[in-house]
Amino acid sequence: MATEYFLGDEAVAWGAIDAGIAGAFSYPGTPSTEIFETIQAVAPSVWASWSANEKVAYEEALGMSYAGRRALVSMKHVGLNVAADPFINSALTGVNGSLVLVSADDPGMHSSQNEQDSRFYAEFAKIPCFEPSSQQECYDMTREAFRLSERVGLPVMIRLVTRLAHSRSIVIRHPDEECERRETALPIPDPNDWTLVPHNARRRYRRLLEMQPTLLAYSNESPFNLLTLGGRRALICSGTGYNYIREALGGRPEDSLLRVAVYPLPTDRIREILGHCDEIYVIEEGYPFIEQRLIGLLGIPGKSVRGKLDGTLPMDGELTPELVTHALGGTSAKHMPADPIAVARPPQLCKGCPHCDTFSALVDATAGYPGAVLFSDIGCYTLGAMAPYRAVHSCVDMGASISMAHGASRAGARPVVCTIGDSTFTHSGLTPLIGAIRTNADITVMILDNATTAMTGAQDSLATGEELIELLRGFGVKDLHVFEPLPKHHEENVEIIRRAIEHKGLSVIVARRACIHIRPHQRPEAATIPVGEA
Amino acid sequence: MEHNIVLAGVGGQGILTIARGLSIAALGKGMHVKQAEVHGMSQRGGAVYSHLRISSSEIFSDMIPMGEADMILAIEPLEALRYAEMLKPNGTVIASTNAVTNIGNYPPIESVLDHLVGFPNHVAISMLQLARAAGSTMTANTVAMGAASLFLGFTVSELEGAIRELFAAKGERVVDANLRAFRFGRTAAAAYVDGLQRGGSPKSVRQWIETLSPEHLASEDALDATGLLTESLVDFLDATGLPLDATGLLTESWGECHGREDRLSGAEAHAFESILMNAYEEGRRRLYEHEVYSLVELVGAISPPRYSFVPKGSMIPREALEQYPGDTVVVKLVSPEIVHKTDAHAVAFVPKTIQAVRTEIDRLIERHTGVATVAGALVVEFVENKFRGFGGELFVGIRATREFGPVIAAGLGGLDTEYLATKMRPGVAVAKAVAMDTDAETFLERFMETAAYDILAGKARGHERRVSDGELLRCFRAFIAIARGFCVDRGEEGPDIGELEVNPFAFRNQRLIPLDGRGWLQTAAKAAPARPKENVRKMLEPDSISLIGVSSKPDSIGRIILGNILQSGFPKDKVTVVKKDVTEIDGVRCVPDIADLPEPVDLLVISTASKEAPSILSAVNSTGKARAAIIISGGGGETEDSHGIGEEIREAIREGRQRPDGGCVVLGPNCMGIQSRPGGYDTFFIPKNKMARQDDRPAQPVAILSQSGAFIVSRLSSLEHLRPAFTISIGNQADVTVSDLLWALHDRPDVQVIGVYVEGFANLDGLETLRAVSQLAKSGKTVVFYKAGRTEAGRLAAAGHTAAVAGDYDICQSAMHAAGAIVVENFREFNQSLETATLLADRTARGNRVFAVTNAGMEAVSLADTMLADGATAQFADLSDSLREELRSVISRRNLGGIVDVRNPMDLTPMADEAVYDEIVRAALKDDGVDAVIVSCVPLAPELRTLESQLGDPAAFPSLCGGWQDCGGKPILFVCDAGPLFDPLASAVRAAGLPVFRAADEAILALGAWLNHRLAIAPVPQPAATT
Repeated sequence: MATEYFLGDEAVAWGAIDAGIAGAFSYPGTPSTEIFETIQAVAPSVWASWSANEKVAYEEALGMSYAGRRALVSMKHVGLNVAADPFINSALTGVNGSLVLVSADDPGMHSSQNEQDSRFYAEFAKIPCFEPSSQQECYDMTREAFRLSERVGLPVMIRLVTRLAHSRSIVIRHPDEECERRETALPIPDPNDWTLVPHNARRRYRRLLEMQPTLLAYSNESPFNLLTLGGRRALICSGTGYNYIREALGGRPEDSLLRVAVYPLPTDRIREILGHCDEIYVIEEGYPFIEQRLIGLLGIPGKSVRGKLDGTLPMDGELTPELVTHALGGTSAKHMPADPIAVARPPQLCKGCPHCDTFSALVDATAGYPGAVLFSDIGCYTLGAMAPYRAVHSCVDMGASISMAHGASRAGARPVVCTIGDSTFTHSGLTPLIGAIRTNADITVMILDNATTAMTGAQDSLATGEELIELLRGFGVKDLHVFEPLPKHHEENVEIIRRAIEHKGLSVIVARRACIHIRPHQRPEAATIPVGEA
Repeated sequence: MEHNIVLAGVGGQGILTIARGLSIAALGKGMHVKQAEVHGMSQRGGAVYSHLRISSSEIFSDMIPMGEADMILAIEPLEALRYAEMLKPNGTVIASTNAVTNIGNYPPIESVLDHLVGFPNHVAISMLQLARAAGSTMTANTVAMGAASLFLGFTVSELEGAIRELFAAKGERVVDANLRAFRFGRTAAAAYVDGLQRGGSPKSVRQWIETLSPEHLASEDALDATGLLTESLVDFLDATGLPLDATGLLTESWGECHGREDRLSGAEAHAFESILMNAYEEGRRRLYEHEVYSLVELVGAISPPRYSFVPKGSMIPREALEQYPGDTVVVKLVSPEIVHKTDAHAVAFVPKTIQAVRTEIDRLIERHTGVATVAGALVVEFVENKFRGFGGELFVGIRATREFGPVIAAGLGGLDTEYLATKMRPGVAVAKAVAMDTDAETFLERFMETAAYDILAGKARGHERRVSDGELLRCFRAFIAIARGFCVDRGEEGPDIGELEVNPFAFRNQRLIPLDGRGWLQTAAKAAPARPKENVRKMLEPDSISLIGVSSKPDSIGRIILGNILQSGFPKDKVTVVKKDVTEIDGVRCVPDIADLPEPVDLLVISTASKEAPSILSAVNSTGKARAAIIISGGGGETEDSHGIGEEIREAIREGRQRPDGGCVVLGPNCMGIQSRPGGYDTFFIPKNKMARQDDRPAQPVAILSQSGAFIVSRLSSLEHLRPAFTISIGNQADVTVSDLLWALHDRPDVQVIGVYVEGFANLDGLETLRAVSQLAKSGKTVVFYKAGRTEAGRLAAAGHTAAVAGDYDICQSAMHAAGAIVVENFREFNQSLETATLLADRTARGNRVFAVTNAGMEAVSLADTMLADGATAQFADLSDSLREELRSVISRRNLGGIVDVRNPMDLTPMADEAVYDEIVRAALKDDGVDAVIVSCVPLAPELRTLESQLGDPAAFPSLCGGWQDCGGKPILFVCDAGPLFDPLASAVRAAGLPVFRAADEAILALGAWLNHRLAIAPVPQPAATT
C-alpha cells in the first residue's frame, strides 16, 4: 500500500502499471495526454512510444493483446472517432491479453471541438464501460477493468472527463496484489476468431451478443454501482455528478441514491430504486445517456424524471457544484459579485512563435486574392484564426485541412491554401495528400514543421526536418519549397507562397522552425532555402 | 481546518507549483486534498486557474462551489478579479501588483489595483520584486505561497518542509531562493495587513513594504507587532515626513515622487549590498564577473547564462555540470588582477565532461598561480553568438563621475566601441546620459539616435534585429536603478560602485545574454553642504562693501579695486576698509579689524596674500560680520605649493557653514570677483583705461560667468558692446559654485542671457548646474555654454574601459544640450552666440524658416551650402506667391529686372543700393512664411553708403536697421564681410540692435542654433492660417 497524490490521469496510469501492462499506446490529446506521459516517465519496462494517430495506437494495443499481453490505449474522446473502426471490430474479435481503452471526454470543450459522450461508443460496441467519480476509483477501476477484460475476453472502456482527469487527490495504491497482475504472455489465440471474414464475423458477433447477459449480471452485482435507498426522491447519477450531489447535500443524502459507475446500465438496481421513488433526478456529465435510456420514447408512467432533457440541467457544458445544487432545489452561498473589469485573456500564440511569422507571410501573400480559402487544422496554429491574422477558415478534425482543400478546389475555389502542423500531418494528413498528389489538385499545402506536438506539451513528432522532406519527395511532391518563418525572411517567404499559389497544381511548402518551447538538441537543422523543385 | 483556495495567474507563472506545495503540506498533516487544474490550449499565454481544497473531513467536489472560496491567490492582479464570484463575502484576496499585459484591451493598471484594494480583505504586493530580492524572479509563486501562509492553518516549518520537497531535485540554490521567497512573501503580507490596520492607504503601505530590508522580510520577529516591522515603519514615516497620528498614520500624500520602476526596493537593495560588502570585506576593489552577473540579475536586468563559481581548492559537482545545456562549457579564471581574460589566456572552451572541466580548471589555476591572485574558476554556459563580427555585441555600463554623479553609457560592445567612439561624432557611437537626470525611456530614445541602435535594431543594410526595445528598456532601467542607488556617496551604508559594466552582451531570441562583466568599488564624490542662497544673491547686489588688503601703494590690487568700486558709483558711506593704523584711505573709513566693523557687511573683498585668508575667514566666522566674501588672491590651492592654504580656506568655510545662519559664502579664491552694473560695483583689477568706457549706457540683460579671469577680460574686450549686467569670475569654487550663481541669476529679471565658461565643476555641481540650466531654459532664458578640457575624453577613451568612453566632457556637452543650453565648441562661437542671444533676447522665434538677402553671389552660395551642412538646424523659407510677387515688383520698379532672380537666398548684385535692401527686407519681414531674416552685404559695392563718413545718412544701413526692428519682432542678423575699414559700419549696426557677423556662413549657424534653442525651450504655436 502506498498513499499517493495523483491526477485522475496518473491514477489510471498507475492502475495500468500495477495491472502489469506490457505496453501503452496513445496519441496526445487533452485531457488524456498525462496517462501516457506518466507511464512513459515512471515505467521504463513498459513499451510506450507515441503512435501516429489513435487508430494506429488502438491497433498496436490490439496486436499486443493478440500476442497475449495486457495493453492500455488512451485517447481523447474525438480520438476515438479516428480509432472507431478497430475499436468496434475488436469487440467481435475479442481480446487475448486484456485490452483497456481510456477515452477522456471534454464537456465544456476546454480544449476540444465537441462534447461527444464516449459512453455511446461503449454501448455501440457492446462492451463494458467504467466511469469513475474519484481519483481513487480511477486507479481501482483501471485494475478492475483489466481483470474484467481478461475474464470476458473483451476490450473494456474507461470513460474520464476533464474535471477528473485533471484533478489531483489522494490515491492509495495496492501494487502488491500479485494475483491481479499478468506478466506472462497468454498462448496465441485461434486465428479464426480474429479474422473477420463474414463467416467468422457472424460467429464472433453472435458470441458478443451471447456475452451481453454476463456483462449485465456483472454490472448488476458490481459494488461500484452504489445503491442506497432512503427517501422518496431518487438521485441517479454518475461520474462527477455523484461528487456534486454529495457536495450539495453535505454527504448525507436523505434521498435514495444510485451511482452508476459500470455499464451496461445495471437494470436490476434501476428497477429497485424506481420501485421505491416517484421523483427521479438524473445527474450525469456529458449527454443524457442514462436519462434517455430511463425514459425511453414515452417516459415512465406515474414518475417524473428530471435532468437534462426537461431543462433541470443544461444540455451543454460541464456540470458544476452550483448547477447541481440548484437542480436539487438548493441555493448557492452568498458571494462577491463578478467584476466586469476582468476582460477575457484568451490563449494566444507565444511571442516569437514560428507560426506568427508563417501566418504573417500567408496573410500578405494572399492579400491580392479576395477569394482565397485558407483551410487549417488542429494544433497551436489554430490560434491563427484570431486577430491579427484571421488566416484560419476551418478547423474540423485532424487532417481535414488537406482533404477539404482538395474538395474545395474541385468546386472551383481558388486559390486554396491549407495549413497543417507536422504532427497533425503524420496523424491524418498523409492519406489525403497522396490523393491530392495523384490527381494533381490545384492547392497549396503548407506544413508548419515546428518539430513537435506543441499544443499538448511538446511530445515528439514522427516526421520532422529532413525526414519530412524525404517523405514528401518520396510521395512524389514535385513543387516543393522550404522556408524558415522569421521576420527577416518575410519578403522571400511571401514570394514563395505567391509562387506556390500561382503554380497550377499541387504545391507543398514546409515552413520549418522549431517551437520555442523545445530544447535546442531537439531542433531540426536550419532550413536550406529553398529546396526547390525536386 | 478547511481551506478553499482559487489559484490564478497567466500560463507559465507556476500556479500549479503553489498548489502542489500547499498540497504536500496538507497531505503531511493527513488532511484531505483535492486540486483541479487546467491543461492544454489555455496554457498558451491565457488565463489559468486551479481550485485547491484542503479539509480535515472528506471532500466531494473537485471544484470549489461558487461563493465558497476562502481565498483567491493570484500572481497577476487582473486574474485575481476574474474569480471574484468564487469568493465568500469575507474571503481574502492575495494578489501581485505586477500586471501581465499581453492582451490589447488590458484595463489601466491603476483601475485594476483600485478594484483589487476594494476587497475588504486583501493583500496587494509586488511579488515579482520580492522574488527578485529573494534571488530569482522564478520564485514569484513561492512569494505568493508565503503571503498565503499567513492565512492558512499551517506552521512555517510545515510549509518550508513542503518547499524543500518540492524543489529538492533542482538543487540547494533553488531550494534556498524559494525558502527566502516564502519568508519574504509571508512577512510582506503581514506588513501589508499591519499597515492597513494602522490606517495607511494601500498605496503608501505598498511603498513602505518596498523599503523593507531582507532582514525585516526574513525575520519571524517581524510579524510581532512590536518587532522590526514597527521599527521600520517609524523609519519610513520619518523619512517621508508623514504624520504619525492614529487616524492617518500613513496617508496618500506621500505620492508619486519617485519613478517606481527606476529604483530598487529595500530588499533588493539589501541583497545587492551583501554582494558588495562581500567583495569589500575581502579587501577587493574589483568585482568578479559572477558578482556582476548576480548584481544585474538581481535588479532584473538580464538573465545571465548558467554559471557557477568554483573557489580555488574545490570542484564543480558532476550533477551541477550536467545541468548545463549544450556540449561545451566555458571555464574562466577568477582573479582580481586579470581584467582582460582573453588577453591573459584565462578563458578556455571545454567539452562538457566532468573530466575535461576539472582538468582545465586545474590547468588554469596552476598556470596563473604565482603570477596573479587566483580566487578560483568560473564555469559558464557556452553561448553561441549568432551575430559575429561588427555590431555583434552591446555594452552597457555605469560609472560614478565626480562632477555629474553616475552616468550611463551604451554602445556597440567589444572592440567596436573604442574604435567608433574615437572616429565618430559624439552621440553617434555611444549614448550617454547623467543617470540622476534621465529615466530608462529617455535613455532609450537617446540610444535610438546612435549608429549602434541602427545596427542592433536591424535598420542598417544587411543586418537583422538582434534585441527587442523592451529588453533594452529593461536593461537600461536596471542599470539606472543601480546607478542611482549605488554609484553615489552612501556614507556609512557600504562601499559605492565606481564602475559596473557588462561588455559584451550577446543576443539570443531578442534577449540580452551577458558574456563578460566587470566593476569596481570606490568612494563616490560627495557634494559640499549647500550655500545659503540669500547670501549669494546679496553678493550680486550688496548694500555694503568692506575691503581687506588695501595697501597704501596706489597700483596695488586692493587699491585698484577700491578705486574701481568708488568709480562705479557705489556710495562711499557704504564702503569700509579693514586696515590697521589708519582712519581713512581714498576718503573711505577704515577700521582696524573685522570685529570692529560696526555692523555686518553684505560683501567683504579680500585681496590680501592668500595665506592670510584662512584667519580672515575665521574672524568672519566668529563675528558674523560678513554675509559674502570674495577672495581675489591666487595661491589658494590651484598650485602644488598652495595646496595647504587652499585646504585651510576650505576648512574655514566648512566651519562657517556650521553657524546657525549658514555662514559667509565665499567666491574664489583665485578670481577677479564681480563686475555688477545693477549692484554698482566692480572688483576687477583692470585699469579702467584698458577697457572701453561703457558705464554711461544701460546694461544689457546678459551675464558672463567664467572660471578663467583672462577669458572674462578678453570677452569684455571683444564683446565691449554687450555691456553685461554681471560679469563674474568664479575662481577655484572653494565655496560658491557655478550652479549657485546660475540659481541666483535665475531669479533676476535683468538677466536674460548667461554665458558660461567652465573648466571643471565642484563635486556633483555639474549635476546641479544641469538642473539650473534646465530651469533657466524653462523660464525662457538662454545659457550659452562652453566647457574647456575636452582632451580628457580622448585620454579616457584610450584607457580601454568602455564605460570610460563616457568622458566627462562628452557627458557635459550632451547633457547641457539636453537641458536646453546652446553648447558651443570654440571661443568665436561663444562670442557669436552670446551676442546673438543678447541682441535677439526680445525677438520671437516662430519657426526656423530663414530668408536671406545679399549683394554677392558667393554669399548666396555660401549660405546655401552651410544650410545643407551637417548639424545645421535652420532651413530656407519657401517663398509664398504673394511674397514672390512683391519681390518681383520691387526688382522691376528698381530697374533690376533681368539681372536679379526672385529666390531665396536672394542675390541683389552690387547694383542694388540700401533702398532696394529696405524694400526687400520689409517685404520678407511681413510674410508669414518667413521666421528670420539675414541681411548680408559686401560693403565695398559702390552703391552702398558704408564708409564711416556715410553712416550718418538716413538712407544708410544703421538707420534702416532701426526701422526693421519694429516690423513684427522677427530676428534679423546682419553680415558685413569685409576688413577693418568697415568696423564702424559693424559697430553702428550693432548699436541699432542687430547682431553682426563678419562672414555669412557663421551667421546661418549661429542663427540656427539660436532658433533651435528658442523653439525647444518655448515653442511658439504657428498662427492659424487665414483664409
